[in-house]
Amino acid sequence: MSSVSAAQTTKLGDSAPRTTLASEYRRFVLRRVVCLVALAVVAVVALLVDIASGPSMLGLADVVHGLLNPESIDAGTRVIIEDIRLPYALMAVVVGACLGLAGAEMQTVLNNPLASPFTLGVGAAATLGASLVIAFNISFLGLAAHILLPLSAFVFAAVASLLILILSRSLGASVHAVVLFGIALLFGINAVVGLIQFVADAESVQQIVFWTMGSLARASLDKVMIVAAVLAVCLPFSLRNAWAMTLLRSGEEQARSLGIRVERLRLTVLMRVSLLTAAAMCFVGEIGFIGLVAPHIARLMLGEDHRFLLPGSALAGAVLLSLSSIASKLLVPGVVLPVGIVTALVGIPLFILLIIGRSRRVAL
Amino acid sequence: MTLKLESVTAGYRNRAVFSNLSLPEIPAGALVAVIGPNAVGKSTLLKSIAGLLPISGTMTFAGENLAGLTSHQRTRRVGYLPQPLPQAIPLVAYETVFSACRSARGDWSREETEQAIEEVFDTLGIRQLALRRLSEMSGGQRQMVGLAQVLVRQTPLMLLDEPTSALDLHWQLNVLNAVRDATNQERSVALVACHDLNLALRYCDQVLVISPGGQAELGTPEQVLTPDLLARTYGIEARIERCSQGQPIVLADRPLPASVR
Repeated sequence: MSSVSAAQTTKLGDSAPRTTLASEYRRFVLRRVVCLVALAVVAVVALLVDIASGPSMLGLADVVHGLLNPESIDAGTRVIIEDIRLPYALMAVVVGACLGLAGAEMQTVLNNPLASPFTLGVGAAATLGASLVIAFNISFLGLAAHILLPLSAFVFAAVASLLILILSRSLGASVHAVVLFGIALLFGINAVVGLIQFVADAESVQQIVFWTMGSLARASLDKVMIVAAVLAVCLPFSLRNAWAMTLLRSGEEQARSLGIRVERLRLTVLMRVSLLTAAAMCFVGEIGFIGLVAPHIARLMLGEDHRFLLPGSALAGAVLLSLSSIASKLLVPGVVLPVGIVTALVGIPLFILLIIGRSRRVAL
Repeated sequence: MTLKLESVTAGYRNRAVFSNLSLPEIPAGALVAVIGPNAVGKSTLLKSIAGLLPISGTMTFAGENLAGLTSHQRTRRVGYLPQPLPQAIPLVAYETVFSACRSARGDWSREETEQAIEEVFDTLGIRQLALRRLSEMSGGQRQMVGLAQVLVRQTPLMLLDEPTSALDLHWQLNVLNAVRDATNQERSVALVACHDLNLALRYCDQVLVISPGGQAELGTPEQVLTPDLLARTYGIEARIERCSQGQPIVLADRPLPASVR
């Protein structure tokens, strides 16, 4: 294969035999794979600690035995692990992963480090859907409230995404237009939720506020499976777009000239984000911090190559929410706090530590 | 592989930047400087040839109508360097170039891709930047990485929008030498929008001057770059002198008052 010549090269150390850039890059990629595996190991450890922690603390060995060989532990511990802690802990993992992945994709296609599923009001729309069911005891097709509530949250989140997409497309789908519509929608929906709280009775207001705090207490294995299924469907499609998203991050015009259909990419990613967000939120309520910070943690550790960033962000989200879940059980002894109010308390110190570590490495 | 434009009109949202632009055939192996004052349509011309703007009229390259190509076919034929530098993000130079190959040269094997990347980093003299993040580079270094993204693909048509705007003299010469070599050896065509008339005089076979009225003139640098044209196009009083080695040089003396232009 012929190519541009190397005649004018400014080469350093030409006389010494040198390693190829490809082999150096392969070593670089290997470090990232190791980093990703380490993150996965941390996620598993956090999951186990999450299962172990609670009002009655279990040993990690008991948890592992309980999971691998349930017959080997006593019935009481088995009930605690299988019926109470496991759904709760698994829900933290899958919801965290969904929000982490959604946040990373959104930050990329909107080219905005402040973007998260909540920037566009998708989260607020889910809250609106839930609030309507709670406040007005809406019944639909004879569905029970515990089914109707997540369904309504999901439908409202999806409609909000669709609305943003339609409005943005009709006025030219620039990044700024999408973000502006999202923020306007967020404020609009918050006003409506405020209005609902104003007219609702005291008990409904309490339930709505509890929803906005986000809680894993509503978890069950069925619900975990639903959220996990959405994640399993979305992740391969996300990874299929990994190269396109990497190019888009380096420059939109360059990406276009390389044949990336940027508008179409933005549209499909935003639809995927709304699905992930709605699935994550419909059972646990609002958990706002993960989608914003998990992508930044993954970016600090793994860089901007989306083959690593996307799974890394999902894993970082899972770790963050698992750690938050642990903290929510341990901060006030005997009380399980809503996890949504603990995420920022756990996430911010971790985030700051990573930034300090990174800036020290750069300084050196 | 010649480039031909006939009655091309292009612009943005109902505002034509140039209308009915026709150019004589640009031959294979030509390095063409696209010059003209700010906002005259240099970038618009390159973008429309790159297929990033809707056009009316006909653009043919190597006998193919460029507008009729699929995006896949176009990425193999046309390499475009936009004016904005690659963003300062934590993406290392190697994967920036690698991702461009993955997207545009799916026909290459992994070995071919790696060899092409190796060669382009050597040609541009940026081997030491390969594993450095864009966020830790200067503007000039990022511009070199952007250029590597284009040159690595070895397209027969290259459109470079101010490729030396962030570079010091050493790198300016390095880049233009690399582009010159590519056009000479591969018989490819390169259109380079630039403001440095002396670089155009030194490296380019032809100069395409776009005037504020949207008229275009194409010819050899010495034919086109005359004091009269510089006065009309840029509103400056300028001389074309020769250095001790016989190389023509543009010397801009002063801006002309509006009444004289």
